[in-house]
Amino acid sequence: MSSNMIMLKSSDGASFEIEEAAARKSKIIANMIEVECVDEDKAIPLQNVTGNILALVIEYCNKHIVDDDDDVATEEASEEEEEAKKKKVDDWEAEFMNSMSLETMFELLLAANYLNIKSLIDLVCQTIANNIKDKTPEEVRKIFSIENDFTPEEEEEIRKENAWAFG
Amino acid sequence: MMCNGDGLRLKEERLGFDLGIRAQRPAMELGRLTICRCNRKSSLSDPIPPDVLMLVISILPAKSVGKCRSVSKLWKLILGRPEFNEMFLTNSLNRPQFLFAFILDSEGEFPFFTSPQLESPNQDNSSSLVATPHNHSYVPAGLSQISQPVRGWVCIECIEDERNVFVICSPLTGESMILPILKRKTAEVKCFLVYDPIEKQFKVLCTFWPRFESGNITANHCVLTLGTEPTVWRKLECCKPLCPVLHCGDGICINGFLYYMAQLNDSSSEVFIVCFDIRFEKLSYINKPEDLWHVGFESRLINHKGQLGIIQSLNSVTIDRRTTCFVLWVLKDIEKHEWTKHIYEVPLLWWDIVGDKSLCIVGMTGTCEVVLLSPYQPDPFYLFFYNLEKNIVRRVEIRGFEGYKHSPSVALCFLDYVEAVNSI
Repeated sequence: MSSNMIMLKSSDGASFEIEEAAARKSKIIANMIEVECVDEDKAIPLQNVTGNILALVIEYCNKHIVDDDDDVATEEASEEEEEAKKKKVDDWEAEFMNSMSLETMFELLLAANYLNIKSLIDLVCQTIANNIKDKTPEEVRKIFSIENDFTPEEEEEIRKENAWAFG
Repeated sequence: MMCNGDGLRLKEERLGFDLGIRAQRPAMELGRLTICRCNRKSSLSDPIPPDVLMLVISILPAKSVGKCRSVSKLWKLILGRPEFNEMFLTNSLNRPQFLFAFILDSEGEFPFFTSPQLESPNQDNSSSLVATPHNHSYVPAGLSQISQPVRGWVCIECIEDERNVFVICSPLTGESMILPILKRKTAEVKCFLVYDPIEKQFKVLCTFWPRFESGNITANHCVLTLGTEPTVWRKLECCKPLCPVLHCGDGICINGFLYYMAQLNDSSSEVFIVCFDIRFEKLSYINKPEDLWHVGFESRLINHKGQLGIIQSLNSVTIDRRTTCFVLWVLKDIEKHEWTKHIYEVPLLWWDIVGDKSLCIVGMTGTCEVVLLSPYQPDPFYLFFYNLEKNIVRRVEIRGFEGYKHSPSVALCFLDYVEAVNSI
């Protein structure tokens, strides 16, 4: 496999070198490579992604490109091996998500969305959703630092409308 | 307009969207989602971009959505949008579900229950699921008077002030609306709730006919569109005055068409399949397969990999442990009324798994499993799954009906129910 390297530049000026195969996890970057608007000597500027978030995106892409290669190499792997490998990836993803704050998760989701990396979008969405599931509105407000902007009357009204959800 | 409420305050400098730069690069494809709408207003706070918030919330169960709507004005607005409803209907990890209803002898209480509809068959024959109750005050008028759920809504025939009325309701939220009274002189009536995916409208098809008399029956057909003002019944021209066969289940919607079994007179062998074009409101009919000899409790219209099918037990009007084969007809050519026939012999385990239960067909799942239940013996409550392709039969106990199943009741089950979080 060719290991062309691509340079990515974050909004705050940090540069990252990444294998083309890993960078192609992003549909946006893959499209840019297809239409040959990637200059080998120049970094691709990503105005919407900061350096710390881009580092996480690259970590995720690198991890998953390795896994994809493994899949091709061991096509005849047994079911158990497949399962073990899947578990390994799941464990890695759980650890990866576990290490970041909710704020970072949203930034990562925005970056994944901007770069169009479907599997990362799904992973982050699911992790954030797990934080909200079964929580009361008060708890959700606290998690997201949201102010309750309903008047008491409005709040009573909306509670009535959504009474089915509180049963 | 989405920016004027409160939302998550992310650190502005780290979020740092530069709309000016984005605007200069219009050629960049952003995929399925756009993320540029969020902070047109440069304020101190950056709410979560609506599209990203919708994406996260859309995978949650409906009850979490209801709670999130009570978080703030902005969240209420975003999570009430029709786009959110569409995302929820396709993304929610809580779908599909089984919807259960019990017709009780005693009046007053009419519970709905839901449970997860597991798509991947568990090889273990004795697995079980727990159903969640949703209580309602509607009392259905009769056995066949709950329609197949459509996008989280059902149509129920109820008795109110000693009059029969049709109510559209959401088993989850309890939201409901009563349909305008249909002026009719005939005794029998049946309503089907349908959805036009092109015009994005719910409609109700109503057919009514006199009680069985000798000779041919004259059935009338009316339709109304929900969510329009005024909501009025429109009379339809009919190709043949066919009336529905009530005891072989409800109609089935496939790709914008509603199909239901119908008959011309009271002979159960003179059966046709009515085809209703939901968008253009045209009625037509399809001839039944030539060797379909009878339709009743043992027969059911099904969706077989996107095509209309009929499934029934072979040469028997009942389904129990003595059943040996099922017949599946699949409509191959709607113009020529051509069906293909397949016969499936049940595995040896069928006898033991079915036991002393008398079954009827609920429908077919996306994985080609025929789902059956025992409507009159709900204790213990089992769903039976017969996979035609793999020739596997399994039984799943549904728990959570305690307190209902002891009173005389009839159990109904519907497949592929999705929770509705928006009004019609």
